[in-house]
Amino acid sequence: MDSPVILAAAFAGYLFAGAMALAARASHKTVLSRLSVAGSVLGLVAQAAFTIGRTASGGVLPFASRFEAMALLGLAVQASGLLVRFAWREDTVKAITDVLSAGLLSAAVFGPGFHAAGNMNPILDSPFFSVHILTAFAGYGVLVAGLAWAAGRLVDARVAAHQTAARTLAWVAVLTLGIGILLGAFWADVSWGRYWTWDPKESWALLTWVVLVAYLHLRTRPRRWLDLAGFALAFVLMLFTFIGINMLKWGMHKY
Amino acid sequence: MSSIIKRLPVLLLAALAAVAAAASILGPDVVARVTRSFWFLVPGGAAVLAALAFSIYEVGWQHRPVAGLLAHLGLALGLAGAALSARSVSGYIFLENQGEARSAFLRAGLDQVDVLPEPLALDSISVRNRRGFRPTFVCWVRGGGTSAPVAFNQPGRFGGLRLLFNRDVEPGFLLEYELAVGADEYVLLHNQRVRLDDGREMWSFGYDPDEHRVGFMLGGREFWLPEGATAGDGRHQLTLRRAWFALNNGAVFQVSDTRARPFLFSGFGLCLVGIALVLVRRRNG
Repeated sequence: MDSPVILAAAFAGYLFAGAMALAARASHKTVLSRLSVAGSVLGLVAQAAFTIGRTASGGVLPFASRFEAMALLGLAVQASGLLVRFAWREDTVKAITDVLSAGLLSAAVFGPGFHAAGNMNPILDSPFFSVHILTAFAGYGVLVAGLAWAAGRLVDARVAAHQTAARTLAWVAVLTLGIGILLGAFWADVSWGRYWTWDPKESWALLTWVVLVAYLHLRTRPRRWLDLAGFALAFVLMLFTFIGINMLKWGMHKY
Repeated sequence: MSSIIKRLPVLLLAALAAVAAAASILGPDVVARVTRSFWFLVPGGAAVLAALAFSIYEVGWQHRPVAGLLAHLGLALGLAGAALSARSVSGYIFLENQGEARSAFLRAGLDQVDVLPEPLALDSISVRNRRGFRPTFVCWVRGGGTSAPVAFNQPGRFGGLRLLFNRDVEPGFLLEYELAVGADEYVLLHNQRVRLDDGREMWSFGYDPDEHRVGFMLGGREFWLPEGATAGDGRHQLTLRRAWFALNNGAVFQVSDTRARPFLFSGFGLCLVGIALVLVRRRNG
């Protein structure tokens, strides 16, 4: 069940969902929008099956390596896009998140590359590991969905009609990222005796969070360009937190 | 009050977070120096106090929703907990498998030795194998009449202090040594730093139990001294009188006073509860 073929099925589902969402946006046909949702659900089920199979074969939740983290980010972005679709019945944003999640899956396979599960550092043998990673990645997914929304507002009048959605997505991202950071600090305290070391990952995750909080404080009424700037800056910081810190010489979050 | 002034604290916090993030790229020493500096801590504390004052004003006098107050109060409580935690004691102790109980540990700053409330001894070390993970050690530590397992993610609590497994160590670990520096005599733990009369720091950075040698760092220079030998530079002569090495394997543990942690975690947790309430309000609104 943890074969790359299953992951390819998830990729196909996301790509199909994106194509259907774009078609639905152009033609205003409900059936295409529903096909897009079905493609997303099938892709998510396939990736969930891959994750469960990999957990079964490796004996541990597969969130540790660069390949696994990138695939998980794809899943988080896809799930966030689907939730946005259900909350606001909006296909433009979903089309963006569908394409992004398909891109992340292919980047996971062709970048870091598929590898066998398991053989992890024993420090990761903790219940906090899974909840810390899952909440942090849920926050990443919502942040990407927020950026997709802020960008979609510029090109689609129907997206722009939901004036408070960007702010709601930013609040959800602040909450989930905050829970992820707090759980990580708690886990570090239990495992290392130090809850905060200003490690690059910690510092940049905190900066991402504070920038989102600052954006929410500055945005008292809907402003399209401020929404885009706030989400874009948080997204760039998130990318550095996710990928950039691996290029540094130090840090315990490198993988 | 102008909206910009009201929002200054959060902008200041974002600026400080940006400085810390940038410093973190340059390495642990740089980021530690920046985040412990006056210019980082004082504006940060002032920004938090200002945010707290604004939120109390908004809720008390402007009748704004309580969610914001909870979030800001939680933030202040969490940061107060962090300040208290920063002042609490933490350090390192080496325990030898089947060795003598030890009651002194080296503070995290490596310049001071503290006494444990009760002596600790390491009864045994076993290897734990879990599917999917590399093997790891489980240490049974005895103290205050009880014995408890200590491993990664599994701390033990002894006399109000928390003990965490840090790393395993082969036999021959340098326990302590007697050193003469000029007319001064010291009994020091491995890695313990001493500031000499000319302001330079001296400490043991390595050891060789087979040759009974200890490696010292003094003023940027390395010296390897066997027992009874003397070496030094023009300003100080070091004489290693005696060194004690562990006969068995053992483990280095981190010792932490964690009594302020509940304030810290409940404070930041309250902050997130406040944010969750904001979301609930938005949904209902």
